Amino acid sequence: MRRLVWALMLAAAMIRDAGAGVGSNPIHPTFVPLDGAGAPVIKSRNAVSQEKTCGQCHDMDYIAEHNTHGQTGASCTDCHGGGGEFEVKPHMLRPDGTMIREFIRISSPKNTDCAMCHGIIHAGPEPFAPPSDYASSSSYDITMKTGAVLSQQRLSGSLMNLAGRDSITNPWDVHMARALDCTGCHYSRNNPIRTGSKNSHLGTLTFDPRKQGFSDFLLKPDHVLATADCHNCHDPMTMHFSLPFKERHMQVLDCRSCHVFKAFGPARETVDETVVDRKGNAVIHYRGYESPGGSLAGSYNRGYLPFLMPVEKEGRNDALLAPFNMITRFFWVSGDGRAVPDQVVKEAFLDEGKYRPEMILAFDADRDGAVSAVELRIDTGQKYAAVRSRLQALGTADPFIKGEVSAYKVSHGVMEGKETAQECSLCHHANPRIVADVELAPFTPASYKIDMPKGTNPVMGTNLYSENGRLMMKRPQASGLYILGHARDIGTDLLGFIFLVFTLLGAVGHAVLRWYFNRGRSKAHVETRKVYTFTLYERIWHWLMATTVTVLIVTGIGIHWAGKYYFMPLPQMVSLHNFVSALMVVNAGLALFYHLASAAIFKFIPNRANLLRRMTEQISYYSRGIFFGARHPAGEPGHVLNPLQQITYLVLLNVLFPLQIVTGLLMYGASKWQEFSAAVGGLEFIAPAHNMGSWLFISFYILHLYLTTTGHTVTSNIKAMVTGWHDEEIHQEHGKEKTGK
Amino acid sequence: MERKKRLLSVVLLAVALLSAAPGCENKHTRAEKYAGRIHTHLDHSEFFKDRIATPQDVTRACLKCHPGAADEVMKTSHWQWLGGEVKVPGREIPVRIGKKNLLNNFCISIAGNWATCTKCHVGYGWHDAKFDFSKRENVDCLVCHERSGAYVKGLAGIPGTGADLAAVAQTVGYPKRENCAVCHNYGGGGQGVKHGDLDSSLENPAPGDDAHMGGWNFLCIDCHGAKKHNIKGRAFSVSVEDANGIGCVGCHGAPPHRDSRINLHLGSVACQTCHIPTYARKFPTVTFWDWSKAGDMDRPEEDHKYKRTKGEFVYQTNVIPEYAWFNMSMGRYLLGDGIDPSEVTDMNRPIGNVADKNSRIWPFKVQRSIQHYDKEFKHLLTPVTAGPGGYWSEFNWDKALRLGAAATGLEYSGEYGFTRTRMFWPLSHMVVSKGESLMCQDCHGKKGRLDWRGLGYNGDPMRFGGRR
Repeated sequence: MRRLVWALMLAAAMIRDAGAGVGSNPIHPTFVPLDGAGAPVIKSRNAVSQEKTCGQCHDMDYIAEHNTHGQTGASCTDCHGGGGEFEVKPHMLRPDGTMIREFIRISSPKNTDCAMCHGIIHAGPEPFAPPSDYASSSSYDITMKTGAVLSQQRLSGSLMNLAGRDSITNPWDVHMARALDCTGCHYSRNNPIRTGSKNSHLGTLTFDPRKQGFSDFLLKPDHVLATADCHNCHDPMTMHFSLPFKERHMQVLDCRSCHVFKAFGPARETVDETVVDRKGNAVIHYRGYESPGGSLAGSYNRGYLPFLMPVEKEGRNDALLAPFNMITRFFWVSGDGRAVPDQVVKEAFLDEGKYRPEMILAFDADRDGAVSAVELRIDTGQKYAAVRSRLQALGTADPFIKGEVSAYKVSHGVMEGKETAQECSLCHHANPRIVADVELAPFTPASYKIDMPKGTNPVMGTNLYSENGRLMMKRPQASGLYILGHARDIGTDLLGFIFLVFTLLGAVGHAVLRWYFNRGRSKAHVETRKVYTFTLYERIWHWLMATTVTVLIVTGIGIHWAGKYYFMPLPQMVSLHNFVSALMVVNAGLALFYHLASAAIFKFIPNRANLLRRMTEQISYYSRGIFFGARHPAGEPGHVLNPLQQITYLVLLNVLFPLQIVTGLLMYGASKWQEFSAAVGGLEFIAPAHNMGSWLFISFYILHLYLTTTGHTVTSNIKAMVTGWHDEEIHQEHGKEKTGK
Repeated sequence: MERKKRLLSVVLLAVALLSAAPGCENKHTRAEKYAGRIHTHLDHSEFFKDRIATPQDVTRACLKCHPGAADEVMKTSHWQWLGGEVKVPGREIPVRIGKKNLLNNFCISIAGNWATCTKCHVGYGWHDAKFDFSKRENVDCLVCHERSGAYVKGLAGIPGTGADLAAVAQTVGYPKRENCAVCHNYGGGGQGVKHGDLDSSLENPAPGDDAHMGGWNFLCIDCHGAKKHNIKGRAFSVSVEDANGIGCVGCHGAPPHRDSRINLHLGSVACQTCHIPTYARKFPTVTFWDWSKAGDMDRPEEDHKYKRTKGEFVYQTNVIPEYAWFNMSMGRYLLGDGIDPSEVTDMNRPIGNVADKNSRIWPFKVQRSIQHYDKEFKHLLTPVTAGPGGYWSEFNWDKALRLGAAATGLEYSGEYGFTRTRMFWPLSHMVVSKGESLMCQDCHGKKGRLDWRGLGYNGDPMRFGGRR
């Protein structure tokens, strides 16, 4: 028997020795493992003290003070052990107490080291599927909390039952696919290859050769791990070619808002500890999964869109939108505010691995004798009362259900290309994704108390309600954001609309009256003569203005109600709007110069003499004379415009044009020159002003169009603007010739 | 004048507006252009009304209207099974090589086995070494051009006597995938024996089977075009150089990828390497053939595993290719070359290495076999198997090898043994598009599929730098 044991031990030792060298790190020098008293373990036979052993070379005090993982109680070799357990055994030591080189696996942390605690870090050719202990283990936290899977494989190659799987050919995480390690982003802050080379106040230096070297770093390695910002490696401004207002988007959106557009890993939605399954475990609901309680690999998974929530930061006026997942936990609390232990809840439901009869009675809604996954939730008063009375019977005083909501930022599972959020209407839409209410749980407990977390990372909603049984949360308001196509200022829209309606009614009513009174009346013969009124340049700038304003109105409407009236993609619509407005401004500027230089500006300036009388005449013509075939009031010689026109154009050119140009520029500048726009109140103020101006512009546009029909004939004014020749009515009053328009 | 100016300003405005609109480019137009090149073929059903007695009569009928066609075919390797003079790498004197006089490590050699092997010859009556290659009427037009699917060639390429040749001839047109498939998908005696990247999954393929044929409904002849019946493309199982070959860049302009990091690979990695991640994806292919196990009458036969006539096989599905440097020229074992029987003999060997600028890393199906050699003369032997007196009828290797030696003129001492051989088949079919191709980690990851040191690098070139 003893011989057999020896043989077995020998065989085990041989197998172990055969494994030596696998994963060993030839760089790390050999060392003497020491015990807690600082004596070599080969002599003392005590347990190895990493503090003493590693402390022979590395500054353990420094590391202890600068350590992200300090509180977790992780040992050096938990992260530096080259993957898996690292243990010093007698056969790994030389007689002098030093480690045999082949057994030294100490190295910088590998993905497998991180994966020991942080979740699914999946490498290798085997297709990805959630591990079988996924629901019960707590070491998959990145995936559990956010649905991100750190794998280089394509989603299409996974064993999960994903919606549209075959077409999702992008990898689970683009950085993993590009062969990055965890330490690529989560690195030691004083690692020399990570610190910038420009480390001097001397502007002439492009490289500082005095920076800390590897020996210094290895002595005092900073263990507060950096979390690399996307900007550490990427410059978003060199990409995103089709994205208008790049700067603004980058300012208010976390990169991952678009680049973790959808997550397909099993992310928790609700951890329901108020009930237990047949094995006595809490029930976990995952986001995007069709069948509750089904296997994670097998049940149909639509994925979910992480919720863009506002993150408020000090020193910023506007919120940053970043993707989060919300996990709600329901659990029983006794009257004194303490959580009811799991064991008691389990006992309330189960008796020797079977549901107690009164529980089946309460929960089995379809009376098939079994509690199905859909039934296993306390969503009716009957179920609530049944469990509550059981808990009371087990000695819990006054139990009630408490809810807890936690928000987890979604940072991993980064996508690129077509799997990112590319559709503008996701945000620029009347009902965009960013305001849709957040589902907190697929059911609403019959009675519960829930305290929403306070804080600004993210700002959480406080208004909860139940819809189709699901527990929903209203989104909080994101401050400082005016999202074109979504944001509305009811006041300006309403006011503008009323103004427009009155203009329309006025024009239509006037036209109807004109038709009504003039029907049957033969056209009074009025002598006209051709006068060359509009020079070629005047006609060009006018029609260019007409075209640009038309395009601006159309695209402006398209942008204001983005998603509703899409006749072209939003980015192109915005670019067109910007381009055409630039064209319009240049055109207006040149026209202004022309009018000033050629003194044609006087056309627009009313002659004060008899202004009131001529205005009254004009008003009386439009409101009376026009219906009865009266002649146009006589104008002043050399003046094309009547006084009403002159006043209108003065307002238009001095108020409305500048308003639209300035507010438009400020809106454009909200991206490029943010301080300017912020100084005048930000987009929340500028955009409605621009919007109001647009309403007035549209009203003018309609009125202008209508009034062109009031010339000598309906089309004579338009003809004049095309050809330059105006039919002028010849007035013969008191033997004096006067022209009328 | 004014009108002209006005027109000009309007045109300028229109141009400005249009230039702001997005560029519309349909990435698919290119593929459609190539797939749509096939013209409809003249309906020949009116030309073959009467019963036709012999297949040669069909050819004679064809030649009445296509007088030069047979002469064209007779110049090609499809007819001659022999190429023009070519310099095999590592040899001084140019030689003419082809299926006719080369060895492989499947059925080994056609010498002495003519009638069976020439089922796939584009001719009629190649029964033995005396076949007359100059008779036009022996050219088989139908095998490539008939579209009925009812035409099956028998021994020496002659269809069975009952065949309704007129009915078959009425269907002639441009070759379909099936026309090429009948020989090229079943080479070596069955589906998936020789090519790992050609099998019946490509006769009616899904996009995942082959991006060109499945995704865009390409026919073989869309890439393998022909001038005067000389079809483009080289099979390096026989060829040693790439004249008249086909390359991806013939259609796909450079640089074809949006990500410049991928384009950096193009100097060192063949397109096929990433775009054929695995081969034999649907049907298994032979990767190992052991002739030495043949003839064991006590061992039960099992399809795809053991045949008394042929020995032992290993079939594999979804195989990860092996990778080697390849500059589009192949070393080649020629009949009578000496071998070291204790070593693996390469039937063909891709030329190239990390220092050779013209070579790139290619994916290969590597066929490993155990086959006969002469213990005294130290060269590979060619048994007669299917032919008269061959191993498959008499199970006598000595006689089979003796007959084979007589057919090839090779020396045979009477002492034979078995040695290991290897053959490289570069992969170019079963191409997948970007959604299924290899990704960084497949080669550069911890368990990457490339053996960097074996390829001559210092280590993963992502970390240690590529070749300079």
